[in-house]
Order: sequence, then structure tokens, then C-alpha cells
Amino acid sequence: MAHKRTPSYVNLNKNTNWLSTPAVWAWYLGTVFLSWLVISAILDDAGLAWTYVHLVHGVVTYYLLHYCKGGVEEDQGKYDLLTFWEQVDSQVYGTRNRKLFTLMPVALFVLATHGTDFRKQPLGLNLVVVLVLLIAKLPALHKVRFFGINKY
Amino acid sequence: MKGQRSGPWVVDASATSGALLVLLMLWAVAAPAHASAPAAESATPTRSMGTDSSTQTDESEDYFHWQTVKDLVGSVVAAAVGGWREGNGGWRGLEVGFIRGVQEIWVIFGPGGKLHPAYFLEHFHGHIMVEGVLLLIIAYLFLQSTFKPKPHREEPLTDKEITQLCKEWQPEPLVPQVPEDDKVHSRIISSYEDKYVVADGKRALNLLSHNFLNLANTPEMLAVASTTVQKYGVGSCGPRGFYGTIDVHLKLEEELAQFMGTDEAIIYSYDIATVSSIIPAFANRKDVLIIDECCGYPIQQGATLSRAAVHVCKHNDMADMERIMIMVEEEAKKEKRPLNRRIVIVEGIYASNGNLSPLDKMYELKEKYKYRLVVEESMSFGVLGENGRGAVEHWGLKPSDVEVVCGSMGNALGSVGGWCVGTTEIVEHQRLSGSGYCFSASLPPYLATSASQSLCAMSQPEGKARMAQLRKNAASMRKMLANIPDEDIKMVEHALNKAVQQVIQ
Repeated sequence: MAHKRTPSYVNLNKNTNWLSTPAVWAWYLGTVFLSWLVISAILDDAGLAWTYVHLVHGVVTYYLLHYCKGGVEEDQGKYDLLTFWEQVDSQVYGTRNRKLFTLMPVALFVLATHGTDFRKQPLGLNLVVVLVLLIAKLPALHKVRFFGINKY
Repeated sequence: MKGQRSGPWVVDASATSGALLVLLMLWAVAAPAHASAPAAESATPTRSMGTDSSTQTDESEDYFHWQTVKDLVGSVVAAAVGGWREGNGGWRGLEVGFIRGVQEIWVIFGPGGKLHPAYFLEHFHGHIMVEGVLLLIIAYLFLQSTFKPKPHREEPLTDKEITQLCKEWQPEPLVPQVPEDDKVHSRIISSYEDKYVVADGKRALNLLSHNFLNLANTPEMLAVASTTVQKYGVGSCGPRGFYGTIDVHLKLEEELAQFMGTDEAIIYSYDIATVSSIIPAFANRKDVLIIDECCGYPIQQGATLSRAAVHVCKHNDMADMERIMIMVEEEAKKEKRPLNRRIVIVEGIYASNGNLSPLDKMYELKEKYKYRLVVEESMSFGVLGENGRGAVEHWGLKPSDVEVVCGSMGNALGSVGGWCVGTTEIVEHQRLSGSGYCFSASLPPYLATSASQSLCAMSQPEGKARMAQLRKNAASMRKMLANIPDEDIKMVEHALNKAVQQVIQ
């Protein structure tokens, strides 16, 4: 029997390791669902509300995941150049948390487009938002900055 | 990590493809100006697709036919030829023909045209295919396995390798063999008497300790320490932030600040943790440090812990320091880095070789290139300067000229611990960010009162007399040692003994 050494993957990055705590997914999905309820109550249109949820979710997650860098921890600025998305799960791609964040915009896009008549919703805007979010999450764009925006 | 490339290539490629993608999307979702009639008629309140099957079957049969392609190409060619005729041949004809051809292409590909994505979406359940594709993407992502970071994977050891390793292993002795030369032959010190010690039964001058002003273990200090122990006990039982702050700490901090002429002072409980905590509190990954090559261990540790970019300049070489400052500025300009903190760290008197650092020239340099100066005055506090305030006073600088002045209380003050003085901002920041301050137990109260006592003694005429005597001794020692050739240790020892005899007499 070969001697196997089990490596340990401990995530010490306090900025992002809270994503692995229990019920974070439920909180995220719950927030999105609740916001849909509120918006559909205000607009009186459940289908169009998904568009609004999709757009607002897109803007908010883009800012929080792909614009905000560093974090709250006193770590001599170790992660000050990395966006939140790049720091998640010790910079490993393909993990569960990453899949959830990648799928959410797509799922919301499907709900938004399916939710109401094609002419009632800004289809182009929905498409732009989902594509921008998907591209931003690609592993190929890890630590890539365009035109020096948000570099420092 | 995958995709981690540098240089302008990736940016250009991504920028172009990004722009193309955006244009593509805008084209795809442009609503047709004359919203296609068949779809509009059959639009239901919530769904506009999937109900007009009658019109669709006819069109779907045509759509993927070669005939359709031939028709479309034909219409473009016809438009071009018509244009040429319009322009009556020649160059004008070509011009108009070209324009008509392009216009016809736009009619086909543009909004409302047969080859525009909206046509596809509206007429052939296109949206269902798009959603199907998206669902497939979702399923693919969902079922994709997690990548494991490959560098961490290790080959498991085979049984044979394990046996081999076990056979080869030799236990190391618990107590390693020490060569005779390296062995320390300690002398047993039986008592201290003022500046003498009795070692191995012989009375000798104590040149071992850094008790520069001979203030340690004076009767006054011992009395004060004894009273403090009676009052507070020995330890402080906590860090400064958690019930470890005692009034004697605050009193010592006030007295130090007053003595040095600054806003505030802060006390650390461990000498070498002082500067090692101060540097990381003010510098991080983005910053630049310039330290002298003869700076001691605590400064080196502090520089490492801060994770800043450290540049080592030649000992007391101002030209080298200027060269480094210019280089840093050029690099920052080239990379367009945002402004970061730049700090120069030196010692007042270097512990490794006893040299003074030229703080006057250093001050000019740091003002010119906008650096902050940290002076570690462990060896020079109580030694240099009119009033014993250290190297800063010695070189004629004001307390506000140097940003951070710190040092150990273990030398001239004859106590234990470290201190740092500066403006309120500098000191208050350390109360939360100085690791040695926040995360260590505070100074035992009797050491704080002993330091207060020494500080008091230094401020009085008696203290000034001690400083004068110290300077005299140091000068005579240097004069006498200056002529010793350094070949033979025994000769040096002998000469040293003679010199010391002369000094005490």
C-alpha cells in the first residue's frame, strides 16, 4: 500500500474565506429572490421584475467582485492588487463558489428573457450584462487589467 | 495561474476582440425599424413566439435552401448592376454600383433583414435554441470538476523508497559535537560593584554591559524598583489593550515625550521588538525602504516583516543613498505607480561598528526626495547631544525634523524595553498597529519606574556630569586604541589593559 500524503488546503485569506461558511449560498440566493419579490411588487409585473433583478444584480456583482480589490484584513497589502473574484478560494478556478457566481448571471438572464415579451424588455442590455459578467469570470482573465484601469 | 501574462499584447488583442464583440451584440439585438409584420400580428399578451406555426413551416422550408442564398446574392448583384447603369458606366457607374450593392447588403443583414439574428429569433423558435444553448452551458459548468492546483500534488512514496530511506537514516546526536575552538569558556561572575565585577575571584572592570551612564542598579533606582514591586507586584499581567496599562506606563510615556520635546511617546516591553514593530506599522507591500548596510538585526527583521521593497545603501554613503532615491523615483515614474510611502532607516550610533550616521546630510537628502526618516537611537540615547537626547540633537536637528525616533531602554537608561517618540499621529497609530505593543504583555511596572528614575537623573546636573564623563572616557579610549597594531591578540589585550588602567586613573 503506497503511502499517501494528504495535502491540506486551508484558506487563510480573511477577505474571502467567509464564502465557505454554511448558509452563505442560501443567503445569496435568498437575497436575489427577495429582491425579485420586492421589485415585482413595486412594478406589478413579475416577469419584467426579473430583468430588473438581473440588471441590478449584474451591476452590483460586477462592482463587488471585479472592481473592489484587497480587503479588510491587515496583511501588509498582500491582496491589494487582486479583485475579490481573483482572491476567492485561494485563486483556484473551478470550485463550487466560483461555479455559483458564474451561473447566477446566466440563470438570471434566462429568467429575465423568458419572463416577459421580447419587446417589453431591453434584450440587448440583458445580453450585454450577462456577457460582460461571464467574460470577467473567465480564468484566462485572471489578473488581467484592460487599459490600466483598476490596476493599482 | 492560467492566463497570467504580461505586456501589451494581451491588452490589445482583448481590446479589439472586446470591441468587436460589443459591435456584434449591438447588431444582433437591434430591433427592426418596421417590426416584422407576421410576428406582430400573432403576438399574444405574454408570448410572441411559438403560435404562428402556419407561416413558419413555409418559411423554414425556404430558409435553409440554396435557393435562398442564390436569391440573396442575386439581389445584391442586381442592385450593384442597376447602380452601375444609373451612373452611366465608367468611374461614376462603379461608384454608384458599389453604393447600391452595399445598401442591398445592409437590407439583408441589417435590422429587419432576412439574415439578421432577430429574424432568426422571431421566426424559428430561435429563442428556444438560444436558451437551450444557455442551459447546456449551465449543465456543463455545473458538472465540471474542480481543478486541483497541480504544483501541490506529490507522488506517494513506494514501499521500496520507504525501506531505503529508513535504512539510510542515521540518528543525530542529541548534543552535537562542538569543536574546541567554538566552546565558550565562561567566567563566573560572583558580584557587581559599581563599575567593577568580581569574575573567577578576580576583580575586573566591567566592559560587558551597555550601562553607559552607570545609572543601572544605582541605590536610588534599586529603592524605586523595590517600592514599585511592593506596590504593584512584579508583572503587569496583560497587554496594553487588555488591563495591562498601569499609571507608571503612562507617566513614563509622558516624561519621555517631554524629555525629547515631541507630542507623545510609546513604550514597548521588549527592546528589539520596538523597531521591528514600528517598521511594519508604517510600511507595506507597496512601499520603499532604504536601510543602511550596517543596520542591525531588529531593523532587518522589521524591513522583512513589512513586505516592502528594501534597498540597502552603503554604510554612511550619502551618494549611494541619493543614487537609490533617484532610481526609485525613475522606476515609479516609468511604471506610473501611485504614490507610496518611502522611508529611510538608520541608527544614530551603529551597534555593529560604533560609527555615527551623518544625520545632517541625510536630513537634506530626505527633504529633497520626500522621504521619511526613522532614527534608531538605542546606542546614542544618553550618549550624544547636549542633553542626552541622542543623535538628532547632536546633529542640530529639531525633533520635528525626524519623523520617528525610537530606541531601547536597556542601554543608557538602565532598564528594559523600548520607546518611540513622535507626533501624535505617529504614536497613536502604533497603539493599534504596532504588533509588539498590541500583542505582548506590557512592561513590568518596576522597570517603568526604574526608567523614569534614570530619566529624571539624566535631566539633573548629576546626569549631565555623567554624560560629560562618558564622552571623556570614550575620547581617551579611542585615542589610546588608535595606535594599536591589530596583529597579535595578546598584544592588544595587554595594551587594552594598560589603556584602561590609564582611563580609570
